[in-house]
Amino acid sequence: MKLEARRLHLGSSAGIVCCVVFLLFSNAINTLAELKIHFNMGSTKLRAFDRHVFLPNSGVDVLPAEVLEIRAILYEHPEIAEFNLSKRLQNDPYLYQRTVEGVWPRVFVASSAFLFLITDELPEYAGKKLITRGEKTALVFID
Amino acid sequence: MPAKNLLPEGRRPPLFLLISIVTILLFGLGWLVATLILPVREYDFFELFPFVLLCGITVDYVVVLTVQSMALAFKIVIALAVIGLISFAKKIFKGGKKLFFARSFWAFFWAIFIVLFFAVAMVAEPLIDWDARSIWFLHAKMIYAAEALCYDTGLAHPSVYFSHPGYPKLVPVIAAQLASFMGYWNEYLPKLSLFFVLLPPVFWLLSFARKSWSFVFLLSAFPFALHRLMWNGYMDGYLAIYLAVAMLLFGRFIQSWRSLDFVSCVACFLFLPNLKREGLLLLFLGFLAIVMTGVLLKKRHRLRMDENFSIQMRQVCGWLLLVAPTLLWYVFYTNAWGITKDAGILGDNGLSLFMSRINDGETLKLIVANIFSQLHLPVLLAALMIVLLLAVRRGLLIEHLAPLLIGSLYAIGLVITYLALDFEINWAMANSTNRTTLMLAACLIVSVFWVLLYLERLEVIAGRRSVRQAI
Repeated sequence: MKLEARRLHLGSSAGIVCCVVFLLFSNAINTLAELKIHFNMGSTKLRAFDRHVFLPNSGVDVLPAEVLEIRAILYEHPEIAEFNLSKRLQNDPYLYQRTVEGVWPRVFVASSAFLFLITDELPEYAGKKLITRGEKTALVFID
Repeated sequence: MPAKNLLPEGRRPPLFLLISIVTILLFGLGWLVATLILPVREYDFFELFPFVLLCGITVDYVVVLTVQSMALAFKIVIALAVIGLISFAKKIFKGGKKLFFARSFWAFFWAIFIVLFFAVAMVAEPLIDWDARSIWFLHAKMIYAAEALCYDTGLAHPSVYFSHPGYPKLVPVIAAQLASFMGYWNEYLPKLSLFFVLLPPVFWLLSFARKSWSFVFLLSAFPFALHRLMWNGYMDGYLAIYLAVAMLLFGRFIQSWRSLDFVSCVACFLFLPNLKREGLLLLFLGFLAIVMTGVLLKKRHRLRMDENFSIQMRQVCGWLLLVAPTLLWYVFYTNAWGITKDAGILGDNGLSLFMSRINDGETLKLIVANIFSQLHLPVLLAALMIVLLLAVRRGLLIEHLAPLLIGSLYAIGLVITYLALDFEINWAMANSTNRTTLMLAACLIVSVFWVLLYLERLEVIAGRRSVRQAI
């Protein structure tokens, strides 16, 4: 009888304990809160939301400033299918990876004569032809 | 990136319309394969829908892998989807009406509501996080730019070696198709591909819906506890949710012996390698668990192949289509394109790294401690539930075998991978254990769910007895 009585509430009690502990210590509540924020944003700013989802090239502003500049320079020079990156840009994994994926299908090729570099590096390439200079990056032609 | 165009200039379908059209097309595509595999019986549409959709997603991927050209694949997929939809409509009008929408309307509604909620989050944020930007959606962009998934897509290009080019391409293919369909690339819309991958598991999870705490627990774990991994473009959350669903379906199959559960479970396990490379190990462990459970049960399950030879052949063809992407990608394409090697993972010096780390005595402890530190909550709950279970019965449940076997062997695999990893170990673990341990958490949560369900059933039985006594 005792066991029966205990079994009578065992499932519910265990379930409640698991749910409460899990909801308190997992990310489930955070997820609901974040989903609610996104949903509110989507419903109140529907037009802006619709615009960024259906706008070509939207969302690139998450890229670092250097990569945005490189993208803009490449956009102005459609003839450049392959480009090179200075050692400093290559050795910075974040900038290198963001550049490679951010400007694809323009491809990084180490032998290309079109070299992107950080503007601080310009003195090292003093004799080379400067094609474009931006705020943070520049494009030089090295033959 | 220059815009290409499958839609007339200036035409933008509303978001809801876009996902509805694609879902219907995937359903039509999947219907062709699902009817090859499943014997035609009465199934609830709610439970059939995720299986059909999963088949559709897989076949879409198979078509792209086979013909390579996105434009040609698009035409083939549309044609097959239309044939599938016509066949589905015929089925309904030829007296199959009672077959569908028989019950679970509310579960259907909630499943769509939950996935739509996540869909809003998916497209509200651009691609920010590393895996999403540098792996999955970079590959999608490459496929979109090349208008094909072939050698010329550039996956073997040395500049993208960092992006794990050998990883499977299911999500990238759907993302590239969406971008091709709309005619442009941006950092939001391709993420909608995740919506279609999330639909089947949420439907399956809702098929466990009951007015009980065990179900609340299950739903809070999957998909809600997976948090940003459901919308930031990482595949780890999806791998965990599919693994959990596969184990849940297998557990339900053991209880009810319904062939739809078994077929869906196998389809989920087969789907895992299309999401991420770890899926290969999980697929192997899944089949091992199924075989072991079968041996332990000492019972031939009732899922026999039809005796009619042509039906047998149809079933074999259906299953081959679900296995095809794994074989095509991992056996054929990665070798043919020279992208089998993965940056840092089980590389040339993997064995020497493994031996030196094993011998230093500290790294192994560090890895185990790191993995365990991510699993406090599920381990605590699983331990508590197993103690409770042992208090009311002798031994574990047969449903526990799959999650415990898969979980323990996957944990060993994970430790071996970390030991052989060609990265600084502290950095690698700091950046990945929260995701790689999700599969272990999924196994533990599924075990907790089975105990809760068992205790709830016990409670119902005890309740009935006490009512009888009172009367």
